[in-house]
Amino acid sequence: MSSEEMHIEPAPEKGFFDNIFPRQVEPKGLIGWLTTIDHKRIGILYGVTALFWFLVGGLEALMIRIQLHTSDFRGFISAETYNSLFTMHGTTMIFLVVMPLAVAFFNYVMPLQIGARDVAFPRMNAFSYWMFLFASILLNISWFFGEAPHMSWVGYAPITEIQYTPGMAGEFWIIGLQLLGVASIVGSLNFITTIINMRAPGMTFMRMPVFSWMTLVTGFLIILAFPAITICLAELMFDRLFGTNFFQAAAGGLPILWQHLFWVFGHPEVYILILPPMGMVSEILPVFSRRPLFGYPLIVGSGIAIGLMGFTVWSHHMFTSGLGNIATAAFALTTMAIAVPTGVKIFNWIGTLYKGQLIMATPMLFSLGFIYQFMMGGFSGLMHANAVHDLQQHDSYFIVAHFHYVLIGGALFGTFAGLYYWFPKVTGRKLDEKFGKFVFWFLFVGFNLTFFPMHWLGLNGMPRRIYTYSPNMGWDTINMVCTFGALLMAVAVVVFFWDLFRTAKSGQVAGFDPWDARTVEWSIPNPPPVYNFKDTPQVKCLDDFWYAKYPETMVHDEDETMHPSDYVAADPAVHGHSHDDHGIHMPGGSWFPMFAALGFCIGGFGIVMHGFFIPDPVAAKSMSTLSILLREYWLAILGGLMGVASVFAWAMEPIGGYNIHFKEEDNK
Amino acid sequence: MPKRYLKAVSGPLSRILLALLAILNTGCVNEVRGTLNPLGPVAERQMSTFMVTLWVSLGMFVVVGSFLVYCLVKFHHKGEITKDTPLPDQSHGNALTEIGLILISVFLVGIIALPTVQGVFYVGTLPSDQKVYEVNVTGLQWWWKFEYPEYGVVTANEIAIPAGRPVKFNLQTADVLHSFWVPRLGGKMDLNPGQDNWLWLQADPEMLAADAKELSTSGGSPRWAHLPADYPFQGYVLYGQCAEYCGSSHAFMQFRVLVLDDANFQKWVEWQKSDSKSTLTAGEVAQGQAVFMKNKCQTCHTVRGTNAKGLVGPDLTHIGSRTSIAAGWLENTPENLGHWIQKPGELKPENIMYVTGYQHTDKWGGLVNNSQIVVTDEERDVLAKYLYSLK
Repeated sequence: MSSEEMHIEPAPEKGFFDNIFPRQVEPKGLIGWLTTIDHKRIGILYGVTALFWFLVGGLEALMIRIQLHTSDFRGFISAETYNSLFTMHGTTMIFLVVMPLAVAFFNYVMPLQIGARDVAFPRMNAFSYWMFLFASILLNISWFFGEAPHMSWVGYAPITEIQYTPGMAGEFWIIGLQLLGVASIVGSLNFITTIINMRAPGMTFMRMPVFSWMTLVTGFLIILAFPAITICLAELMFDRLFGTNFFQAAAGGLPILWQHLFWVFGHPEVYILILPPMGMVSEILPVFSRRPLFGYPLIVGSGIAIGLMGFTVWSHHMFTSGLGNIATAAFALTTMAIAVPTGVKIFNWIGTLYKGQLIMATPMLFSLGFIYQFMMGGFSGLMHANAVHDLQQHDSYFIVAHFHYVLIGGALFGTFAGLYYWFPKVTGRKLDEKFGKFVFWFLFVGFNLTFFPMHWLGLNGMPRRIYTYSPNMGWDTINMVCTFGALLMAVAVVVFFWDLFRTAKSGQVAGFDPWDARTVEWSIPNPPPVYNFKDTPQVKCLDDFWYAKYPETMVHDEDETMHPSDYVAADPAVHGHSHDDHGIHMPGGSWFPMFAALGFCIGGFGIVMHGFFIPDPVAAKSMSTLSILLREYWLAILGGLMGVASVFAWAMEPIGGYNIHFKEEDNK
Repeated sequence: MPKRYLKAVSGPLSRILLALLAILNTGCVNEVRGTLNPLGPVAERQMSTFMVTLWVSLGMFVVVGSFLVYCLVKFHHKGEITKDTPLPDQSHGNALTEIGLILISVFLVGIIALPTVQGVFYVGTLPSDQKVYEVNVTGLQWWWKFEYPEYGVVTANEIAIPAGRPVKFNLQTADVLHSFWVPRLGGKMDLNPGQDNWLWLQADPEMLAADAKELSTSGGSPRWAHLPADYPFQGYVLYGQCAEYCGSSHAFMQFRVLVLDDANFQKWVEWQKSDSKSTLTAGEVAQGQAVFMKNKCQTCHTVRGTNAKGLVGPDLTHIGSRTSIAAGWLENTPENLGHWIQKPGELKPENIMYVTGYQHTDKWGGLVNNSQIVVTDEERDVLAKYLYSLK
């Protein structure tokens, strides 16, 4: 929208803090990004940050594969470094890549899909992002202290206890995850509120796109699952810092409690990772098959069912921990039950393809790769549900193969499909098809070459998380194949990033609705104007935008009351404008979400660094407990105070910003 | 009913699949044997239920996969889509198809569920119709301590079990989590602090004999089948490993299981109970013991029949008779023993003997334990010779 068609009028409100940290009227330049509360910009920030960590996590994975390419390989990296690498690879890929990439799409796409101006709490949204960014940095600066976490991403007590993991590695991991949890929970509350309250008129829940549905389900999973890990991390932190005994068996603690709490979080977490890509694929398949999603209510219903059932299966991660026969059998059955809604989704996706008009563009290829690989991961999941043989599979490379099939083959392929699909929405430019296909095929072949043979390794006794293996085992050849596959994937990733940068700068302009899409986010220009929709869309049915374009394709079920002629009424000239004479109000940016996140993360860093400030034992004898604690945790306290003060300032801050007025003729 | 049910579903089909897997095995690495080549009833039961799951999955894979491929080939639209391109079918679901697919899924899951639940109880229940041998297992960072409470035998990183007899392993850990796993005898079980976990395994003599024969005729190395030729008894050797991440040297925490017949097992027990006997001359033994004591090895290690009575590290009474050293990582030869004694940190990073006992540099380059052990080349050779002679 050029400035000729509209003019901007600054909002008059100014608060006390505007004198100290002046705010921009309109976001511009670096400060515009630092103070942004626009869901689209925050979405981009999330995406770019997550993609950066994707490179870091990928590099860690490559080093792991190089280390394992042959038996008894030493001298490349030490066992300790290797243990840090697989710990940080897992933590990074789950918490810093797959989750935030999904959040990037929640942020960017979901409000557009439901026809909203922004999320419900824009400044809280910014706070989530900065919290995520600073926490991810906190987690990774551990490398520079030589104290990168090395207790594996599940951190099974008691190896995380102070006597087995002395030093800062434990605190880096605990505090990093705790702060990331804050970001996730705050974000989820925001998305849930947005979806429940801010859908466009006419968008009932059963007219809501599947991706927004999965955002809602994922949001609930996060706020229900994260408290469990928050609790066990807090208990572990108390054990480490203040000598409590939650997981100290010698003092009557219960290490197995960690496993239960962790997996009460950990299993829903798996669905937190996979449901958003499932939503993306459910958007993409109909578009590139040019027909409606097969069984929309069932896809949505099975997504909800998977989310709920995800809370009933956690102990299938613990079949070897001595649960007893009854519990083992029960959790085996609940786990098998979850295969049914998952299978339903796959059937419905393939049902969408049936009788369609399949266009093999890159987003479609990634979605098809997703279906195939997720199906394979589902089968090996079913094999784990067989608790009898799971005793053999557990903690072997069979498991490694399984979860990479669902997390790379499933989640990452689905997210890549989403990236290729919504990239024109975000940048107004289309990623190159030739490069896209190259990236897809290299990733597809490389991925299957890396991870399919791992099933065989696991069945033949190779445990996971081992630094090296004996030449006697005969695992060399297959490991070499896996490493070769990983290199192919690395090639794909390099080309992908190169194409991403190239296209963002000077790629082919996508134009309006480049995919002939179905949902309302494509009814506005690419990239969308800062205010999203000039007129709030009036939603008449599922896939509203498609039926606005092709009203004749509407198939009327008996219980449907809609009629193609309804679309005539959607003309804004008839319905009037959703904005009144004041124009569209755009809120001003704010420094305080970032300051608050920075404060809390400095506080977290203070806890990590507390060891440097412990007074020496002789001097400590003459000090009170309070003064010892104050000396030890001064940075933590300072950071916490900065966080709280920033939240206070943020609460006192007026909205500010500006109003957008459109010229009369533009309103037609 | 359960066995027949299992056999009917998995019997003929699994033979075909096993043949395919065998081709893969011979194609790449013909001596590799794992959970798909069970050597006892527990592992066999686990594999047969796995085969049920595998076949159900494979059936679904073929049906669903073919339909997917059919759709991709049949409905692939080549060429440009223009305004005039007719739109495809616009239906959006079919209630009967969907309900039917759900019911089929439930049925298929049911096929897997039944043998799974039966198997869980089989694997998780001790056989009650015969004598069960017991072994107390203690996991430590990064080695295994094995005790036979019935016989008063203590050993490390190598156990013998009687063929054809159920053996109950009582699992305890002295520090962090570990997991006890002998892939060819059965699945694993964690060693959890503060918890009394156990599992039972049994080696089947006929399966062992058949497997060893197959390995020797297929041209594969029988490395993991027979005990070494110089071992006092005939029998089989299987490898085991810690399967739960337990710290820096998790990868190097292995062990070996010797399977002996009843008579040889009793002889082995008597032998292990006895004090250590060296094959060297009295003078050489005295020299070896002197170096042993000089380096304070007795602080942690026991050699029964000598003054070494330490309880922290592995029992070394019969170390010369073991097939491996350094928790299953190295074959037991004087050279490997010497390497291990002189530079344990090189083989097993962070191990307690090295970290607390030996002079070394930490990761920042600082010298640690500068008053502690430094094993010279001469001492290394004397010690290796002495320990290797402890049969």
